Amino acid sequence: MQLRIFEPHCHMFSRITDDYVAMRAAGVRVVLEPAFWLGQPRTNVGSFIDYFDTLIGWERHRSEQFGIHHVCTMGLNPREANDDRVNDAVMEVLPRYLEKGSVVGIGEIGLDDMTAREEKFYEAQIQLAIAHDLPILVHTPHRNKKQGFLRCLEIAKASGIAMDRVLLDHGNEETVRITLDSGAMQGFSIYPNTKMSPERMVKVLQEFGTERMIINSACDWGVSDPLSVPKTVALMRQAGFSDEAIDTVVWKNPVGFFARNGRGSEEDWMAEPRLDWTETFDGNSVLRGQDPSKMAK
Amino acid sequence: MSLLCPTELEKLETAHLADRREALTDLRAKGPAGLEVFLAALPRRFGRELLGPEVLQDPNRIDLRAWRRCDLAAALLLAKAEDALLEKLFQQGDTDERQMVLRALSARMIDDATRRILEAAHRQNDEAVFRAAYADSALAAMALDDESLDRGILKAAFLGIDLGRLIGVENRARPELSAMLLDFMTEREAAGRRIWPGSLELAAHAPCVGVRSRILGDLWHGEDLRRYHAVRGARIILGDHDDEELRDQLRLRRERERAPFVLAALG
Repeated sequence: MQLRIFEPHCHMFSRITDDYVAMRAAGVRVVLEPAFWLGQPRTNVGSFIDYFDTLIGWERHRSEQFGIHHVCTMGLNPREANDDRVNDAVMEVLPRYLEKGSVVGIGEIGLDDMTAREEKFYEAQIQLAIAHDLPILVHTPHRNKKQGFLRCLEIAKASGIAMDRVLLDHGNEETVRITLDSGAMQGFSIYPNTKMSPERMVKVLQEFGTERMIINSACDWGVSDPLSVPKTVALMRQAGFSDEAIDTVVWKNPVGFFARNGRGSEEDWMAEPRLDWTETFDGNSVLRGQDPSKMAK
Repeated sequence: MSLLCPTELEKLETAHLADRREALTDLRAKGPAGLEVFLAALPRRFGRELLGPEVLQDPNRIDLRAWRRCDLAAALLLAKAEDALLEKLFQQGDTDERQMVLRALSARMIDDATRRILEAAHRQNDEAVFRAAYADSALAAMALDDESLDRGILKAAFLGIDLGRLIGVENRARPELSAMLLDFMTEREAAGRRIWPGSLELAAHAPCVGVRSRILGDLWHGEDLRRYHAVRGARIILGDHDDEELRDQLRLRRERERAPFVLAALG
């Protein structure tokens, strides 16, 4: 069985074209880019609008030029939910992005410092998800993770959203049982040195199975690895996981979670994106003046 | 006035969107402002399929063969929307949404908002958006002033859009525009690049100095399409006044022409 990967959490906005080339070669067919923060606070809603427009515009074009479908989730991330310069204004513009063709969910939303403001905007965005019939991708705190998971779950349950439309991300050994018992999907970010390593991830899969398990690289502008999912797959193979079990974790689970209501489908994402180096986005090309006829297919 | 009248819109709705009546009712109930959120959903709800080959085609007004089902839905939903909303939808929209807004302009009264949106579409580097604004309808020819329309036609020439799809522009031909088209031809030829084949045909509607000579030259050009448009240009000039040399050259060309579509143009 040919390896096919739906990479459900990577911030390609901050990656280079070599990453796309390597990811495609390693079996990645779809990347999902959750809206998140940019390493430093934004000072006005206009910065969010331009960023959101990039996620559905230029970045999508850039990805497809390298043979990878690009979808995204939109949202007000928990860190900036605390910032009164932007939080309410982002919530006002958010609905008009939720019906865009490549938007398959709301995220990253959730809790970071677990403040009252974070909870307020997390809850409000869950209501938007219900109204627009979208799943949510939930960022969980990196400090006091277990309590953060429990609180994220508690708020989600109270909001009325179906738990099979909730993906709790950045999980680890401490959170697996909590999430599986809740009926939500469980996401693990395989990230160098922090979060989960490929070795730990394989052990989790051996212990808890593949049902409702999703793995991602969460690659961004930090020290991170866009190939951490295929590297984990290699370790899964060594550990004796079948092709089918691997396909469940890196394809069937994320595709089943995000592809609903005409917003993408397995058929769409198995089709090759148009690889046409002459194509431009608003007149701009990834080739930066290089000759399209000399580019490899 | 508008390019599509309410009766035509009603007929189009019945013919093409009868299976989506419920979705239309739902969106109408949300009001035009609801489209600020749901315009992006129209391709999913109504489809991107073309309306088909049998749809309304009026060579002097509009050709709906390039319209998708979602374009028609947008036209129906935006026919009576406020100008400000339309401009906002265009500014906030992605490629699909901008195309829908531009096509919806044909269902509305032509006014200053029409002009502003067409000019905004001209500034995009997105070819699909530009085509939705300038091709397949007489909207640009009817709405824009000389200066804006000249810029639009030159951009269409730059993008290589077929002259036949720029409906109504021949009625707006001016010697000033013809001079620009000839300059563009010269510039392209100097650079060894392909020229826009429609240049001489459009320029023949309002010839400036040099148009007639270039038509005489292009009647003998090696490229079929250039000869075709030269023939059409010559016939336009002859329709206006007699010109013995042009007539003779057309006759000689007819004797030697092999390309069927050029022969058909020669008559």
